[in-house]
Amino acid sequence: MKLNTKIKSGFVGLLSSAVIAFGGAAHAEYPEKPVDMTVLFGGTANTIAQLLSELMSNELGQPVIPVSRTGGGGAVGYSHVMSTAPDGYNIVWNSNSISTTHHTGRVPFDHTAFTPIARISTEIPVLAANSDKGWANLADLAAAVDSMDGKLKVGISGKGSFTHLTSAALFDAMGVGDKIAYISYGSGKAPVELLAGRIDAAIQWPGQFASYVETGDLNVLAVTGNERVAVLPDVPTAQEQGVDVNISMWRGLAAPAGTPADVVAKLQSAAETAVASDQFQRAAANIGFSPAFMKAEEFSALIEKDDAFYADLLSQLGMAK
Amino acid sequence: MTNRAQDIIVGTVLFLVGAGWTWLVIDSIPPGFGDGEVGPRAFPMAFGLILTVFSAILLMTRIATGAETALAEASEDQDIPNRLDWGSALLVLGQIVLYGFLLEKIGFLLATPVVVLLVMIVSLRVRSLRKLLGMSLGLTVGCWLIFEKLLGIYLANGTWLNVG
Amino acid sequence: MDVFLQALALSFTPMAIASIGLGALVGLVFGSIPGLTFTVALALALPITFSMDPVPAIGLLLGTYIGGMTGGSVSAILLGIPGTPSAAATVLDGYPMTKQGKASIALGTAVIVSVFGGLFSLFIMMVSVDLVSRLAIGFGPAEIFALVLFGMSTICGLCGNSLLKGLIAGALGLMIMTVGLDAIDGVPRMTFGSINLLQGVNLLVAMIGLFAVPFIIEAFSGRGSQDLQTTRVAKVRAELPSLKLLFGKFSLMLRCSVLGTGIGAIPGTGGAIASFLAYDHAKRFSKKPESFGKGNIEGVIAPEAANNSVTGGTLIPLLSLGIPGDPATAIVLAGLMIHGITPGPALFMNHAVEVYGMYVAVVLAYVWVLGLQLMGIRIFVHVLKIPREMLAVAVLVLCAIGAYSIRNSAFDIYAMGAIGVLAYVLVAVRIPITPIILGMVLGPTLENEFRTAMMLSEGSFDIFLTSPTFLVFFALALLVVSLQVAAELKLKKKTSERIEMTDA
Repeated sequence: MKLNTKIKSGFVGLLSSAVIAFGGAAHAEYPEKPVDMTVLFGGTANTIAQLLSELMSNELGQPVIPVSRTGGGGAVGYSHVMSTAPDGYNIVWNSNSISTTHHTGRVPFDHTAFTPIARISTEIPVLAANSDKGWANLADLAAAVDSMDGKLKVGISGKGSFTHLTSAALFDAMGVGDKIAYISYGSGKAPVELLAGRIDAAIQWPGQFASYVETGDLNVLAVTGNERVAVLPDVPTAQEQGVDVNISMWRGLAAPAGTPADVVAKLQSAAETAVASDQFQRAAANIGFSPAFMKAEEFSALIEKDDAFYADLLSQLGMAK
Repeated sequence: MTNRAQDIIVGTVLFLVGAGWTWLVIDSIPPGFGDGEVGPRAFPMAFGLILTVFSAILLMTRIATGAETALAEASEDQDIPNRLDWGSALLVLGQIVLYGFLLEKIGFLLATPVVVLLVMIVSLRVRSLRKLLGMSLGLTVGCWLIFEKLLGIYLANGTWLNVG
Repeated sequence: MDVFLQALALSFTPMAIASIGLGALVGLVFGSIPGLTFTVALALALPITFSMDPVPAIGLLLGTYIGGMTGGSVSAILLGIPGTPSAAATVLDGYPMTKQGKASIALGTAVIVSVFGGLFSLFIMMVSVDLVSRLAIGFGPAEIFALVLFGMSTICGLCGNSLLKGLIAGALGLMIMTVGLDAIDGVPRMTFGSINLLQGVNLLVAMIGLFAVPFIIEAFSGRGSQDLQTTRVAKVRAELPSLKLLFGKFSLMLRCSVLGTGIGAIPGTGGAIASFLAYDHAKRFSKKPESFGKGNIEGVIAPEAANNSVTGGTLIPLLSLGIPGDPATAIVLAGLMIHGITPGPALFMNHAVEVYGMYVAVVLAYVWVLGLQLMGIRIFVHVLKIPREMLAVAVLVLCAIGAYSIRNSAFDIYAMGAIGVLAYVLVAVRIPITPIILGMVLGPTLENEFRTAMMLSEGSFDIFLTSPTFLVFFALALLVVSLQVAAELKLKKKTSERIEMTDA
């Protein structure tokens, strides 16, 4: 008996969904089915994506489903979205990684394979050191590096990672680039390695250091973007200290190239409302990223500009393919 | 097949796998970037060499211990050597690969009944229509309700054809 | 005391208790279904917590984490398919117990020792979080490398009577995990230009393949299962372990809980290494080591006590240093951050109430887990009444869903199938598969920590030789391996003597 009910409900389910799929496909307004949002990384990227998709779902009236397609430094997810139909039902939660994955030869296509929808947020890395070192700013660090025999050990997440590129750009601008040894370790362990004195300095996201700064265990020397960060308002930017570096990691949304303009506009306005919401702003302050909505056209120009910058930086580091 | 013969075959195959792996690693991965750094090649190469060396030892000890130890061996390994059912194994592999492929192309709701039916008819030789329909639809709808609807897991949507 | 009372008030709201219970239930479901893992459950639970108050929100996540860790033993014991890598060691004796008709005793023991281990580690964490986190900071790349090497030496206890075959299996596991993008240099390895291979083989996917696919193939080839089937159905009873049994093993439970807490406290190690070390420890100090692998209850107690005491252990670096030990605790960390609770040394000054609230939540989660699981055993054991082939069809679908759900990639399903068939062949030619999972779990850590250590020392081995911690663990690893080699040579000698006698 139980089996019969199961079969019956199965048939009904199949039939009704088939009717929706084929019958309803005629000329309804976008979106008429769930939107699949590919997420390329875990951690903060994933947390923001989950929050954003929930808020966007409320706006669009259809669920936006964050689907994790991680691996290969973003290569796997980008390849998936690129191969889908440009109808707005497959979007990607992208970042500067589109430039780095392309220029390191992991994917054969570049940012032009995607239509930008909107920039959502930025994260600005900061440089920290153990307070025992007695360094208060970048000048102290540069002086210490000049007078030391060996190399300064700087922790990064991995070769070619965003923290590596930022570090390289910062230390080159400071003129001490050739006295730095980069140490790769797992992304979350920077504070501990600094505390134990195994590395001398590290560039990571401000949220990781905040608690240590409060207790006075670590000193944050500089912010690598052109604006100070909300979690650590007392830390000056590198530019304020006379070092010309301005790097921040942006995150945004993009769809496969060729997605209709009205669909992009709809997604853009949903994203705008989501970013402006109280819940998003509160989460940003807690997690330590900045909401930074930007419309598609400006966003597109930003991606273009950044792409040239990373291409250059990677070939300087000998990592470009 | 005796355990000894089986071990010789396994030893040979793994020896070749290890040697081939090591050669490919040396051929395709750059050694490193200097500075006393242990490059990306060292570990895969070392692991490949470990496999090669240990399979070679297995191979040689088994060849060296002649047939006269067969008696002792029977008491050493109490299990009777398992017979390998290659047919079932490859069939299951094929079904899993087909399932993965179909999940991506026609989505969970269509791929699951197709594969379950196939598995039951081909591998299990079930002919009862009731059982076939019950399992394929029951599993599909049950999993769909529990996972997609109740727990919110994303079950694949098809790229060729999309239901639900 | 005031703070503690406040925390009690926060955690004993109906909302908090319900969300902890919901978390524990969801975690148990994900943990106990073969193929699904609690990391996926946590990822799904995270967005639900966004709009909740801090204590219920964290309670939901902790409940899911704890439920998942405990639930992993269910399918390990009933079907021989571990729900998490941490439960892989439980298969070794838990599954044989099921074959002997003692499934419910194994399950009951697993739950009770899990709860014991979890609460024990929570207690340790409460009284010594400062001290332990200070010690954990001392574990740098060289020390973690040595610990992992020591973990690898447990292959000796897992390989039956041929160390050689155990090592071969271990090497295979190590090799598989090097495929993909290298974490340190960002270089693709053994990918042959394929973007799918760039993501590498996921550990959970490989684990599902290793244990579930051979189960499916054996069920489909329909040999030898007939007699097993009948005994299993006849003896399905929801019988719980006696108190006498549990008290008798109290010292083992305690030792394994200490071990699990300690390993959990070291960032970047995780539950699997703890459960394998505990299993090895139990076997080595047992009066009847030869009965391990054949359904010795101690082989269930040791890994389960250890892997659950890791839950309390990992909270130490998570809360006091802000460092997650594995992907699962990374999601708990995200949940804390989004509610403005920033882990780190200042946490206990700024959020003492929430921290105590979390302690209470962990206790509540274990109460839920104990209740749900003990009730659940009555239901779980009925799984054994399902005809094996039909069960295998369901396992096939569940494992495909599980493998797919981790990264939403069909490649992972292909990888699961390929690794599964490899495992089936290896089992048939008497190569043990547990060392493969050990190699897979430990391989990436082993390699990355070694390479980081060498970078720190600029290519000199001094970083290892000057570390007392390294030397101790390295010596232990050497000792374990040489004991095994000596035992095997002795066995060989005995056998050859016996041959001479038969010849004469």
